[in-house]
Amino acid sequence: MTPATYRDLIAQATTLIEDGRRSTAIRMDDRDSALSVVTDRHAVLSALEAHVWALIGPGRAAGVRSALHPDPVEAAALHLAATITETIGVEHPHPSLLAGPHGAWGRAAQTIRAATDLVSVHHDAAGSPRSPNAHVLESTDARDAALAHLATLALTTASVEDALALRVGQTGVPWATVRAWLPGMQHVTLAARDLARATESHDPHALPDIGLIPTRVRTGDVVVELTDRLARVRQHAWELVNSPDRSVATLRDLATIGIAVHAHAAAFHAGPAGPASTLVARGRSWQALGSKLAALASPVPHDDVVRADLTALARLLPTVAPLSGPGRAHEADPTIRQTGAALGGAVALMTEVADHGARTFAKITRTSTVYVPARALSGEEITDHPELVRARLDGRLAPAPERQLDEVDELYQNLRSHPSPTPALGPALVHAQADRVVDVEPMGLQVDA
Amino acid sequence: MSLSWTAPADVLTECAEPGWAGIWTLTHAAAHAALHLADALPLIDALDVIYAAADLREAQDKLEWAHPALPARCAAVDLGPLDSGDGFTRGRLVLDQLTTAALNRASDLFDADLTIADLLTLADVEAALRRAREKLLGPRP
Repeated sequence: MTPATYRDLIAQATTLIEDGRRSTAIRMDDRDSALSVVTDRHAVLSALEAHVWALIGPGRAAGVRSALHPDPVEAAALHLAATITETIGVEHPHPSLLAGPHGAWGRAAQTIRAATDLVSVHHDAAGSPRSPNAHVLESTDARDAALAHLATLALTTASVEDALALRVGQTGVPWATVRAWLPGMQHVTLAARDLARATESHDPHALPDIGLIPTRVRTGDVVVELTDRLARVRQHAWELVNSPDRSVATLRDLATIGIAVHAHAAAFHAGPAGPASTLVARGRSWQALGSKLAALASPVPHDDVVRADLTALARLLPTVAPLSGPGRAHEADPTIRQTGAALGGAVALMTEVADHGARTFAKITRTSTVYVPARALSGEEITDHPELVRARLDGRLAPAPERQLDEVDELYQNLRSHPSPTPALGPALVHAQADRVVDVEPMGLQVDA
Repeated sequence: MSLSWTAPADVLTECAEPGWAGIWTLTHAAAHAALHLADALPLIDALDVIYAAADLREAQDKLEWAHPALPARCAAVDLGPLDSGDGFTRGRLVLDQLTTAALNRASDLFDADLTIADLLTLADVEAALRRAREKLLGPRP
C-alpha cells in the first residue's frame, strides 16, 4: 500500500464529505441510523477543530489571543475552532472514535484525523522539528493552503444542517430532540466564511505533498525501494545535524551515495543532448568531497542505517539505470519514465543531503576538533608550530589545518546550491562510444590490451 | 609493461610487517590508491572502485578504533596518482595485490592468541577487505 501524503488525505476527506452531503438527500431507515449520521457528522467538525489546533498549535494560539493585531488567518482559524467547540461540545475522545466510522461522514472524520496525525508527527512534544519536512508545514504558504481547505470542508459540513434535521425528524425522532441534536450551524458557517475570506488568494498555494517520516522500506518493487531508501537517507542526513553521534564516517558514506546517484543518473541520460554533463560534473564534486573527507580521521563510527542504505543503493541503482549501454531517458515506456522521475528526485534530494552535510560538518568543526595524520601536513603548515613538527615526527594525529576544512566547506557550498542548467566547465564530455557518458579519456586502455 | 605503482606495491607486499601493523599499512595504501584510480577513471567506470575505497576506509577506521597507536607506529604509504599511460586494469590488479596481502596477514593473525575484542575487530576488517576485493575484480572463493 502506498503511504498517503497530506494532500491525498485532504483530497480523500473532501470526496467523503461530498458523499456525506449527497447522502442527506435520501431518507434514513430508522432512529439508530439517524443518530449514527448525526454523531458522525459531528465527528467531522470535531476532527476539523483538532486539525486547526495541529496547524496552529496551542503555544502560537496564546500569542494570537494576546496580540493587539494578530495574524488575520490565525485569528480566523482559532475563532472557527472555538465556534465548533461551542456548537457541538467538547467531548474528548469523540464518541465516534470509540464506535468506529459507519458511513461517509465517519470515514471523512477518520481521514481528517489521519491528516492531523501526519502533521503532528513531524514535530515533537516541545514543537521542535522531527523531520526535514517540518519547516514546510510551518511555512505560511502551507498553513494558509491547509486552512483554506479546512474552511471549505467546514462550510460543506455545516451546510447540511437543515436537510439532516429533516431526515432525522422523518425517522420519528421528536422535533424537540432534533433541535437539541442539531442546534444550528450559523456561527460555524460565519466563522468558516471568515477563514475562507482570510485565506483567499489570487495565487493559491498547493497543499504540502508530505507523507509520514520514512522509516520503513518497501522491498517489493525496485523503484519503490530506491525511493524509500533515498527518503530515509535524507531523513538520516537531516537528523545527523543535531545528533551527538554525527561523524565524518557517515558524511563519507553520504558522499559515496551522492557519487552513485549522479553517475547512474548521468548514464540514464547519456546522449548527445541533455543533462548528462552537468550530472557528471556534480558527481565529480561529490567524489572530490568524498576524497577530502577520507583524509580526515573519524573518532565516531558510521551510522549503520546510512551504511545499510548505501549497500542497498549500490545494488538497486544498477538495476534501474545500468552504467553500461545507451541512455534510456528518451524512451516512452512508462516504466522508464517512472525510473527517470525517481532518478530526478534522487538528484534533487542529494542537493538537500549536501545542505544537511554542510551543516553537520560545520557543527563538527565548531564543537570538536577534526584530526588528520600529522604526516599529511605540509612543511608550511607545521613550520611555526613545534608541537605539529613533533606530531609529524612521531606520526601522531594533529588538528586538521584550516585549509583542509575550508576545502571541504567549499565543496559542500557548491553541492548544496542547485545544479546549474548549463553544462559545468571542466573536462569536455566525450562520447567515446555511442551514447556513453565519459568525462575523461580512458587513457591507458592500450596498455591493458 | 610495468605500472608506476607496481614497484612500490611489490615492496609493500614483501616488506610490510606481519600482524596489525602490516594490515594497517597495506589497507591504508590500498585505500589511497583506490581514490587515485577513481580520479583517473571516467566517473561511470569509477563507481565500483569508489565503493571499494569506502570499504577499505572502513577497514582502516576499524583498525584505528581498535588500535589507536597504529597510524603513529606504521609506515603510511601513498602510491600517488596514476601516471598517464598506466593501465586501469593493471591499477585494479595492484589494488587487489595490496588487499590480498592485507587479507593474508589478517588470516595469519587469526592463528595468534587474540582477545575477543581483537577477534571481532579482525573479523570486521577481513569482511570489509573481502568486500573491497570483490568490488575491484568480481566475486571469488
